[in-house]
Amino acid sequence: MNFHLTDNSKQKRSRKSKQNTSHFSFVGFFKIIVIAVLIFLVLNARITLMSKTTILSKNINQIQSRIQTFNRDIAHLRVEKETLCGWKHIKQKIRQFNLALQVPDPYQVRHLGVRVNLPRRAPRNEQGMLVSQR
Amino acid sequence: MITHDNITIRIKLVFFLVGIVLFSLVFRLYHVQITRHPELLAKAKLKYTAVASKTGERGKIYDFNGNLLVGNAPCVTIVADPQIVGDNAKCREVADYFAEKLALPSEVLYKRLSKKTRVVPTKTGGRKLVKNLYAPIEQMVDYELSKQIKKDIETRGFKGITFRDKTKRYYPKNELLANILGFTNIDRDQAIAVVGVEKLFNNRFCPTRAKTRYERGRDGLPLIYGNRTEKEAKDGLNVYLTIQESIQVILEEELDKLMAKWSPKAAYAIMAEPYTGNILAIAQRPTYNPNDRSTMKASAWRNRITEDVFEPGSTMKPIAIAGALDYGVVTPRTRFNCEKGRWIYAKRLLRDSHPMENLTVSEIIQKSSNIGTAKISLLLGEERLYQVLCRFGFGQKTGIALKPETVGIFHPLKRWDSLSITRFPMGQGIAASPLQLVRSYCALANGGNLVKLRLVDRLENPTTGSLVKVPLEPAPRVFFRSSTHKQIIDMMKLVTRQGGTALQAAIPGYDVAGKTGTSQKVVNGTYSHAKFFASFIGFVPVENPAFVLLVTADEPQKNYYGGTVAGPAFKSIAEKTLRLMNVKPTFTVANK
Repeated sequence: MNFHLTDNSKQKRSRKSKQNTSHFSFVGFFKIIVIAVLIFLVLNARITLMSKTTILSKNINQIQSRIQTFNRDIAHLRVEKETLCGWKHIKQKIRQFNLALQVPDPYQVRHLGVRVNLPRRAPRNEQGMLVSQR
Repeated sequence: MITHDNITIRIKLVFFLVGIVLFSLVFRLYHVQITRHPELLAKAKLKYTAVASKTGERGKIYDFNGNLLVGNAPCVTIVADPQIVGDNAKCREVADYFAEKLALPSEVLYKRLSKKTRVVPTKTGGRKLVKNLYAPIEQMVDYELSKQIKKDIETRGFKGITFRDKTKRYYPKNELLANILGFTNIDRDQAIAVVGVEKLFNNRFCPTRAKTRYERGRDGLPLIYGNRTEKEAKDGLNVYLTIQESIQVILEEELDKLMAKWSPKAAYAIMAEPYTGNILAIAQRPTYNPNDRSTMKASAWRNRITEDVFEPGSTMKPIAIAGALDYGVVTPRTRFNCEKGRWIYAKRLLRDSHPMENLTVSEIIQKSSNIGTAKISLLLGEERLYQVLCRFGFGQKTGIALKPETVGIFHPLKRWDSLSITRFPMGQGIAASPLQLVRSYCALANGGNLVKLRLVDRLENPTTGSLVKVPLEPAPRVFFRSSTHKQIIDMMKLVTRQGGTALQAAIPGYDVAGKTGTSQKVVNGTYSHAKFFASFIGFVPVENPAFVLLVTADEPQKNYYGGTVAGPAFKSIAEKTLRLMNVKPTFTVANK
């Protein structure tokens, strides 16, 4: 048979301190939970933002890649256009379609306005700058 | 008996152990995050930082009006990874497909694709076997064709094939102006200029290279929010020539007709504006297509117009006679006895093509008398003749932006012999390039100013849009009398009129001033009687010349006279160009 010697006053004191401690633990635990939840929310928000940024970044890369493809298509078409504008090609088409084209006599030509020979791309900024300024 | 103290001790022990673990973790965290931070950050940066280099575009070449003559066309290099392509059967299938599409030998492609390993030297001097990850299939594949191939590859499910974007130099007008433009070769993805404008302006055309450091994700793609240091690659400068494409086309077409009719070894034609020295068109035959090097010969891409010389023959006469007029030694009406076509001077016989007697200076030019010209030169004297020829630019470079350029063969005065004074004025014993001849005639046409020939008009910076115009340089005077210009051009007009040597160069409605030249070629140190240069050079309209035009044929067959071979070509080119420039006729044919 075991005897548990108890001290009532001690028990009373420990019961009180236990009550205080449990009240204290509950408040502390609640605070920790709140902080943890806040941290969790912040982290979650950041992760979501980062995830969206990553998706956006991928989209940007895809669009940049498409832009590069378009630029190459444009460069290719420009070169093709110049080839088609060449006299060799035009002459071939004249022959192919049997177009009865003739060079006019000077007296058959009348110019209605002032004839200005502009370069195809008008110079944007013509000045005597040093070529080495690049 | 379990006491309260025992429980407390156990709790404390557990807390202590947990505390030790936590403390170790904190310590570890501190060590990793703080102490080793620089080292680990550097390692991480190495892993997620990439460097990409980008090169700008090579500068382009345009004609005066902005028509593209040389540009950059996109193309594709196709490579394969033998590890991913598949087994031998798959390699065979892929090789057969590309062989058919790109006209390549199937066996060669199969060998490359099926080679799964390769031998590499080790640092210790031995050898080891590694995986072969690279098999080239074809370079510079046409852009449109590469798109088709991409679609086919996706459909057929070929794996391990990579397409690398490249650009190649492209000449959209093919043979047009080929000898002047030149061409480039490719060496390790870099364009190496070989000849022509491409080579001369290579420094201007070369783009700059720039490196971009960026942070990349796991997939290798750049992170938009990451750190990025970027320098911009700049494109090369664009060059605008003085050439006008439409006139160039006319010139080249007529030159082709001349080649077909007279079958010369070579032919040249140059058209220049006499007041500015701008070269409007310049061509030579034979030529080549820089887009197709497979049939190219070295003789075709050599720039004969700047490198070769020829004896100008009678085209030299107006220059010497203009000098005599300018010094007041003769007038247009001064008469000379042309000895019925045979004259001995300094113990050597000098002949005319036809026997002629007394001729005026005007008639000497019109009928191209060698004896008459020689006698005029004797009156002028060696010293003054030498000065005249120097003033007209012989023995000097023309200033055109092409290299190498010959200065011709024109001996200094102290090396002249007793015959030089009679031979040089008729274009014998002196050699000039076609450009020098054109330049001297520009001086005759524009009233006596020796302009520098210009091929490049302006340079453009495509990044900033700024233009740099190549300035016109002051032209030294070759005439000092005000009457000389009118006198000489009035004489030269007679060449294309009845009684002249170049009736076939006459253009209805216009006054053409010019001179024929038929010069013997020097073969093994002596003048040949079978090989000639046939030339005609002139300008039109005489009063306000739109251009100076030279046409020369080297060793024409069936006929060798300048008036017969080069004259008609001159007429065709000049007529079409005058219409293009809308230069109205000076008179109607009925009024003449």
